Amino acid sequence: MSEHLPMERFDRNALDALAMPGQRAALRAATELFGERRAAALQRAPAFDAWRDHARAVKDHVLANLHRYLEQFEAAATARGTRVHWAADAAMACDIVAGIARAAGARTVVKSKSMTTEEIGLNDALAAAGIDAVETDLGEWIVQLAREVPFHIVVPAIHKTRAQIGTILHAATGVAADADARELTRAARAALRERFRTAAVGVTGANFAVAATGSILILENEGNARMCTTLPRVHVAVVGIEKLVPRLQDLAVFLRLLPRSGTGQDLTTYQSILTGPRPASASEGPTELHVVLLDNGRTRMLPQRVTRQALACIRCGACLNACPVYQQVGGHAYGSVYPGPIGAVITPQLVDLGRARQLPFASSLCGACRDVCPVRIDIPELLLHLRAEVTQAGGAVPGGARRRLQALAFAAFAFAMAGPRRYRVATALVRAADRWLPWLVRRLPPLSHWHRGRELPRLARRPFRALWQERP
Amino acid sequence: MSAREQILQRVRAALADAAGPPLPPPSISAAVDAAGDLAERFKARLQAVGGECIDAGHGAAADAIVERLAALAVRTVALGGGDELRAVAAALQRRGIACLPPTAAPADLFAADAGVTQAQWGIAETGTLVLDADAATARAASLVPPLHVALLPRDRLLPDLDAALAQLPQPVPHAVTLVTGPSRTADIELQLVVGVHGPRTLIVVLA
Repeated sequence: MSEHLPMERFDRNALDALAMPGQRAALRAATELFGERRAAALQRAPAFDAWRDHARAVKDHVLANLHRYLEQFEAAATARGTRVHWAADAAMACDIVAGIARAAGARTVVKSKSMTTEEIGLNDALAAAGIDAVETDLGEWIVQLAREVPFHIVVPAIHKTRAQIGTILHAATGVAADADARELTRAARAALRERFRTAAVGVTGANFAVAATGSILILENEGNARMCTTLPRVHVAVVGIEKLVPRLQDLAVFLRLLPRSGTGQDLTTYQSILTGPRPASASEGPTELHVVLLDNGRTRMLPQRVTRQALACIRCGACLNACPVYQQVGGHAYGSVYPGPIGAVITPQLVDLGRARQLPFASSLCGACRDVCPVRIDIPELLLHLRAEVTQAGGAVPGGARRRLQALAFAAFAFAMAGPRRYRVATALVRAADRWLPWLVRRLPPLSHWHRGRELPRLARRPFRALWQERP
Repeated sequence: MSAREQILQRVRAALADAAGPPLPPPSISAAVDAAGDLAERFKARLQAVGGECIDAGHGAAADAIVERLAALAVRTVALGGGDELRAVAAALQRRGIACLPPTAAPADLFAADAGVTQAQWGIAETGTLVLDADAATARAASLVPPLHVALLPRDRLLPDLDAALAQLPQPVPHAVTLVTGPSRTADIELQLVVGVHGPRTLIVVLA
């Protein structure tokens, strides 16, 4: 089935991605568009920075009192007839969902886009249990049909051209392979409606869970999450334990931040606030609602303040669009469900630092991710923290040899700059070498590796000091 | 040890000496621009996201809805619940448009051309409808047919999201759906396509 690239080899994956011009053009279009839309949405929201502070304070409060809010959520949800399950890890969560689907007699479940179910590998686990999981978000369905993994957390199939999608949907629905985006979308709609109509179980994630009321909230634009939570007899939501907010009113600030940061919308088309299965008085909606509370490594991030902040993430994708590394290499290179800057800090903590040790180095530390984060996660701080952990744990650091050479170069530079005589001698040497230096840099490893992506600047014809002395 | 105990114990151990900030007060609405007439703002925001707004006079909503449905050649309507839709049901019958009752099985709604529902509140800030499933059946009727027409009493307009969340009945209804414009996607080459899984057309009739 769909496999991620090996996260151990971000360096190689990134080089491979750089050699795919079509994919890079699509990436540029997407990240630029979302960046512009976000900026425009923020123009219309002068209080945005105050909202960010507010939202982060809510998250910090919840995370520091997480056990209390988890118990409160469980009690409130249970009182409304929701069945609350706890899953310590991915395998346990998959078993719970498969068990629910089996008990419902489901051969097929319909799914709406959910990072959490991707994280636990639910589709493969259900397939192993003989249950077919059908993704219903358009981009996610395309990626599933192509037997790939999502490329972007908001627009999963952004790396595919319309022609490629046409071929995929032609095979699945019979629509003309050269159809336009509207016709392709219409064909997908028609094909998936039958699934919605007949599926016994709908599986979703949740963007937020409300402790006081036991509610979950799902945001979307397409309507497939509403289908999955309205039509099937059974609804299962897999929810990370960090998704809690205390009160219903706390949702307002997050609903203001999330769509603006992700797609530049003031609000996504639909929000479903779901509290328990249908009551006896209602004629529609699921008769069973299950919430699976998932740990799967999250509690490992809780003890330290610096790592805990990653649990404030609301999965908007803004840091992906802003990141100069993501903009070039895209989502697959990270080899994880969570790509981009937030992925580079979450993956090593969720999976294990050994396997993901290259990811904290997949950043120039420019800070663009921190600048756009709606809950002000200091991702560069986290990256440095994880780099320190990787280094302390020993083992190869990406570009370790290069780093030693760099340290040597900087030491030499510092020595040469430390006195006027040294400086004069050093510049005279460099000037003497200027003729053959570019030739050397082009050919001599490891300098030639550096040269692959850069041009060595040439010296000015006459040094500044000479010009200065000649001034009238 | 159960997974529940295991997770809660891990959390407690991790947070033994964590001190978080106090919980901020719930409302942030003061930060939002509140100028202008609510109905005008609602209308402008709804149109900006691709929705249509019909300003029907008092008592003229049912006729306005049925007129619009007839103009769109609608033959079968899935009707949501709610007292305010009784007049619509009668007007549909007069016009010879078939009607599925609120109690119809959601799976039967796939053949309907339009769904007509009541909205409990409207949010002027974003042009959003608030559908409360406890107050009136509307989940499938507002979702499954390709056209959704919502009846929104003018006195149910609220300035912002905070007001809407504060207004929700206690205990909170089993399903509250916020709807802002027609269903949309940009999953194929970022091209906006309206009407993916939800309605392609959203019409709000202000009564």
